[in-house]
Amino acid sequence: MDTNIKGEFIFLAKPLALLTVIVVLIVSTLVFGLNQFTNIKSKIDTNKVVENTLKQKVVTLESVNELLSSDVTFLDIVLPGKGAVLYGLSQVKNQALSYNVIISSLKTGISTLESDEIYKTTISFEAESDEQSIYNFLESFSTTLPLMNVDKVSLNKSGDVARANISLSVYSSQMPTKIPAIAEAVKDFTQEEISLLQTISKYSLPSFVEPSRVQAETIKENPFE
Amino acid sequence: MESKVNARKINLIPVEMAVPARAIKIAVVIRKISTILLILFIFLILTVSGVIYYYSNESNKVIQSISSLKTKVSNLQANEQKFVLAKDRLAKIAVVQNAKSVENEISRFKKFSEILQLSSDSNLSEANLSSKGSEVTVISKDSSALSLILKPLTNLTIYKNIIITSLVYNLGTGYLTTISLENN
Repeated sequence: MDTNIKGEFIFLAKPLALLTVIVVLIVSTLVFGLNQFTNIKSKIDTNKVVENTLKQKVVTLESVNELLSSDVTFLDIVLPGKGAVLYGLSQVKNQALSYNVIISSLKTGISTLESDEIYKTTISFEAESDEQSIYNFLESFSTTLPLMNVDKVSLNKSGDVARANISLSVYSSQMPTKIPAIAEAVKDFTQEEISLLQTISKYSLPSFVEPSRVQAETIKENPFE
Repeated sequence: MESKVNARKINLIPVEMAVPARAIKIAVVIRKISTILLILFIFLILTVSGVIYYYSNESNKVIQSISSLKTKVSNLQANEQKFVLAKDRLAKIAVVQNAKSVENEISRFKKFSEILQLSSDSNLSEANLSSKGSEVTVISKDSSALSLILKPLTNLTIYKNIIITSLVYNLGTGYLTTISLENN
């Protein structure tokens, strides 16, 4: 009986071994195939996200020219990195000329940090003209660049002549120093931002600013320096 | 013919050493299964290779597309500079625009000033404008001039509160009225 079983086993050993080898190969191929598939699929999925981000970025960047003309001086001046007070003084002089206002006792304060990366400098002066011109003069600062706020006004009127002690704030901020990484997503302009940009682009610039053109061919290592 | 039949019947292996019929049957079944599995294995190899090849190609296409898009983004660097500058400035403009300012008060105060013009005998003497409102002193020659400006003030809805903080009569100049105009 034992000899029979041993004989059967020896007789079946070869086909069984072959079957085992084939099963092992099938399982190994399946495991290897699935691993490879999962790896490649996950790489594709990750790269698809990057691809979509880049596609979106290209569309956004291509539309920049439609929104912003080649002359972006107003963006440099809206919150200047340097010389905000000079621009502010220039605007005071310009607006005074426009509204027949006489300016005297012009003073500037020191820059103080208003909020994150935004500095505020005070310009104070006396203005003299008729009452209506003073109002128009004060209102004109809401449409001038750099951005200025009228902080305080003390008005005295004697006859037809109005005298005002005016305190203005002019704002400045450092220019951005780097552009985002090439594959980093950018958020397109919102409707409010577009509308704000269009409004600001119409504001009056200080007299001594020479509009500069950003040329598409010019690629600087550090674009904001 | 007879010798052929006889030849088949001859078995030289001793009976105790012969492979049992059951083992032969199992071996046949195993061989069949092995053959089927081998075919399946070959099919599997082809399928796996095909799938890996297809997805590798897809992956390469996406990588090429990314590379081409990166070149495009690099070529648009001038636009990106403008974009980054605009975005940065826009974020900061919002902060500046939220800062307290007298600008809105000026337009409100102009409406108050129009009321003063209703009477030629009432004049603005002093005004202090701030983001919270204005404090104004008005000189009126007589009581009728004073009432001429006070009456329309009751209809002035642009201010939350209009308070007469002092009223002084002086024989030389007339009524000196100090009015506090408080914003909403």
